Amino acid sequence: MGRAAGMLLLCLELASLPARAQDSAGSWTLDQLMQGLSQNKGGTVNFSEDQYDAMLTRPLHSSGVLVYAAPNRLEKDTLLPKPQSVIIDGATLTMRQANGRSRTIRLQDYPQIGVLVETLRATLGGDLAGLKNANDVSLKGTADQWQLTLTPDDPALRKLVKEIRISGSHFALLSVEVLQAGGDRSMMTIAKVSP
Amino acid sequence: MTGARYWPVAIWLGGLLACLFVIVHTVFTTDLSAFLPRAPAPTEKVLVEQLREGVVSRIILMGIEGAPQSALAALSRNFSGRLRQNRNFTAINNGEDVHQKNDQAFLWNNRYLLSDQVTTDHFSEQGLRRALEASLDLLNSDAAPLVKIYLTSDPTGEMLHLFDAAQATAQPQKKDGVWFAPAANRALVVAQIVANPSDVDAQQTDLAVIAKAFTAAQQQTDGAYKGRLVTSGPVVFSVGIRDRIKRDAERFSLLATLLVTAILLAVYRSPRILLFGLMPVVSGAIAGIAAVSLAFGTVHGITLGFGVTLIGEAVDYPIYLFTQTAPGTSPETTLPRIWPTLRLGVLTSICGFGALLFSSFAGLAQLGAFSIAGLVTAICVTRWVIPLLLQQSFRAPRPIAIGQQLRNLIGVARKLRWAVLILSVAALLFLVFHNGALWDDELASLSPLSNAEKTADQQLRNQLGAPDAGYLVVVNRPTQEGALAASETVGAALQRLMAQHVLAGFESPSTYWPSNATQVKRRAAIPERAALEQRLQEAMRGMPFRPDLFAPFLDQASAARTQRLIRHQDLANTSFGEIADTLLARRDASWQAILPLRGVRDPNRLAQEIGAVPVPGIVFLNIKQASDTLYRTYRQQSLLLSFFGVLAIFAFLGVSLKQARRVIRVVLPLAAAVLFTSTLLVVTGQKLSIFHLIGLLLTVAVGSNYSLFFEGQSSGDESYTWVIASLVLANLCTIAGFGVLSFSGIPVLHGIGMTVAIGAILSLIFSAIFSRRPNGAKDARP
Repeated sequence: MGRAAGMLLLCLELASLPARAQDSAGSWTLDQLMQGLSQNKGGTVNFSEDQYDAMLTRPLHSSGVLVYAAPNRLEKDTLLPKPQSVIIDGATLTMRQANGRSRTIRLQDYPQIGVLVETLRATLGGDLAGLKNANDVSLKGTADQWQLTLTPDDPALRKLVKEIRISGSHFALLSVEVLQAGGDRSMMTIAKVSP
Repeated sequence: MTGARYWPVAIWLGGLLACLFVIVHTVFTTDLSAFLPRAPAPTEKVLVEQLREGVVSRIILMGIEGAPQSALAALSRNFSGRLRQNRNFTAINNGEDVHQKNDQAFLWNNRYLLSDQVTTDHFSEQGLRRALEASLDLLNSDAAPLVKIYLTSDPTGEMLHLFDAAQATAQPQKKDGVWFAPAANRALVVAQIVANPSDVDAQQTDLAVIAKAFTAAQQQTDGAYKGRLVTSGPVVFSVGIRDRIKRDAERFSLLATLLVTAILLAVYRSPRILLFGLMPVVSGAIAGIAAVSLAFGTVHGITLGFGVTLIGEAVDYPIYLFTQTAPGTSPETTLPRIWPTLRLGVLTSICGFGALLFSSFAGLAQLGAFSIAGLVTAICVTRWVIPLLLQQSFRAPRPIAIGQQLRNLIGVARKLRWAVLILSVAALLFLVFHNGALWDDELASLSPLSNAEKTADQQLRNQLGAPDAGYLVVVNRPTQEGALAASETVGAALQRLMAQHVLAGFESPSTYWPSNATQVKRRAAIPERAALEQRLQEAMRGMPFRPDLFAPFLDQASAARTQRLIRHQDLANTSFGEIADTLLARRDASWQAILPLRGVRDPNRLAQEIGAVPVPGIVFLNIKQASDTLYRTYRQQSLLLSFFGVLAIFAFLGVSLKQARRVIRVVLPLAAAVLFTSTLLVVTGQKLSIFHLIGLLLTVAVGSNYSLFFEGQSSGDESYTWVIASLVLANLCTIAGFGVLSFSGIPVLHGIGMTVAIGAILSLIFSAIFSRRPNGAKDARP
């Protein structure tokens, strides 16, 4: 269960990969956003993340790169403060911790992570039906500046993750904020890899 | 006629009654133990124990298939739930977390007693600092939510450490919360039975319970999809093998009996004579069982089944008597003529079977005792009882015409003696210089399982990712505490070897139930609250943790200093209890810990390292290798005993026949028959097993009668024709009886049947070829 929550954050972060697609004119709808996201075939971006935790006297900062290859492979490589990584590939998830310990789990073994990974894939792949299958989805703002809010349907999952807010401009994701049930939260901002 | 003449009949009937009385009070066993050595080495002893009673032999592997995934998962839950209600099973595992709550509570409450990280250094200022830094790293990772759950009470990470250890064991993947085979639509279930693996009846009951539970689950699980259950594993096999051997033994014995009966009826055309013909062999079997029962205390099922075939030659005795009795004369006048030869034949057989008595395998010794008692009884019945019962009026029809024709044929056949001799030498050379293994040294080759069954079992095993039952470390200590402590010592050595990739992992009873000594040591490693608090404060300096964050840890850790040690009942209703009970058991006056090994890459290195672990009575068991070694010992010993048996036969014949020429004339055909038969078996692609060896021994026993009769007769005698006729008839019965057995798919029946059928006919032909020329007659008489 605890592990499932860990994966959740990961998935949300991965969900924040930018999509590169053409803007379209007119009012901004979920269908348009998803249609645009579905054109995303993959790429690499930088991330910078802050975790705010009631147990701690200051936020924890980390940064690194996110790599997405449609449709199944997602990778989060944290470079600072200590190198560690998480890779979702097909039906498995591999975590390499800062202490060098590595472990692979099968997503089927953890149904809640399975739900999250499906949510993630639905977001990245622009699959609205899949997204709505496990979440309450709402979109506000304009094409220039929008915010997608996801609330998990599963009550058990909601005990860990209250809400996920993804903001972006056109088909690029700019930030992902995860609100946890206890009041803790994490904020990740995304920037293109500088050439 | 005075009653006094009939005393042999009275003795016979009295003896039969006494034997039947013994048989009624006999314990019949079906377990393997009789076919394992009587004075085993430590490795063999452990192997035998594991095969007879071990975890390895108590497993039933099951797959549910033939329906959509969701239906299979529902079936798996319902079916497993039913089996968990049944006390015949110690564990039912289908991947459901039935003990999840208890397991977590047990680990959490006893984390300081269970974690091998708990040392004095772990709670020093530096140790705490290291632990806090690691926790912070985890907080700043995607595993953060997991760490947060335990952080305030467990900043040193004992719970995560225990989780990691528990996760390290290989398990099948889950779908819908239950185990499924990878890439196959098959739900997996493993059951462990209470019943002793040697108790095949109880195992049969367990299988019936499983079948019933599955039917009930099918009825309760809705939908059109019924699914089907496949089962495998040692329990299923032992029940199946018993059924199959019983069925084949019954079917083929019945067929053989019918054939022999038909032949005897066709020749003698008298039910009465048929009855007399079967009397010696039946009496012999009864006496044989009683003798084994008296000598060994119990009679093994295999002795019962195959003993009867071993004394099959007893059917020949009355044939010799009847067929060689001249018309108008009574059997009593025939007897003095044929008795010396008959007696010599029986004694020769006894010499051969007597060698088996010295086998260190109780099963073989039983077969030896059975044969000797059986043959002695059969010959006595033939010699003293039948003639009395037949009366003067007896007149057996005799196939004289056949005898006459055969007589001519034999005259021609004698020319072949040099050819046979040369071919025998060639066969001997072929066997000696045979390029490739002559003997099958794998115990598995004796198994009546089909390749399809073996493949299906291996598939289920792989899908379950079950620890290969191939390698175990076994430790015996006088006390439970001692066994746990010893398994900790072994565990430490195995951990070292894991780091060197000698093996991938292992299970140990002490993982979730450490010895008291270890628990006390871990408890003592935790400092008092004040000291702990002070060290923690120092360790936290400069770290972003809230100052009062770890108050729960200080409370709980200091409480653990006086925590009650883990007892057996604390493990109740946890999966750890099931593991501990499986791996730690009382055996006679001592406690035995079993550590199954996984992913063994270098068995030789492992054997060497385990041998160096300073624990008395430690045994590293490579089950397949140990079984094959055991079987090889078995086979080699049998071969050696057979060799001594043959020597005994030679010596005996030498003393009885006195002249070297006569001995050679008796022995040569038998030797040639054995060589030809062995070569024929090898050439047709069979590897020789212990069953073929027994078959060859039987060939010598049966064949010696043929060559003795030929040797004892001058072919000029009138009785020569009768002798030939009786030998052909006896041979026909032997070939019919054993030939039928060779059609069985069970290695033991097939091996013995085929060898004896071929061997018997060759013995007869060669005996004829090497027989004396008729006095004054020429070989090529037309």
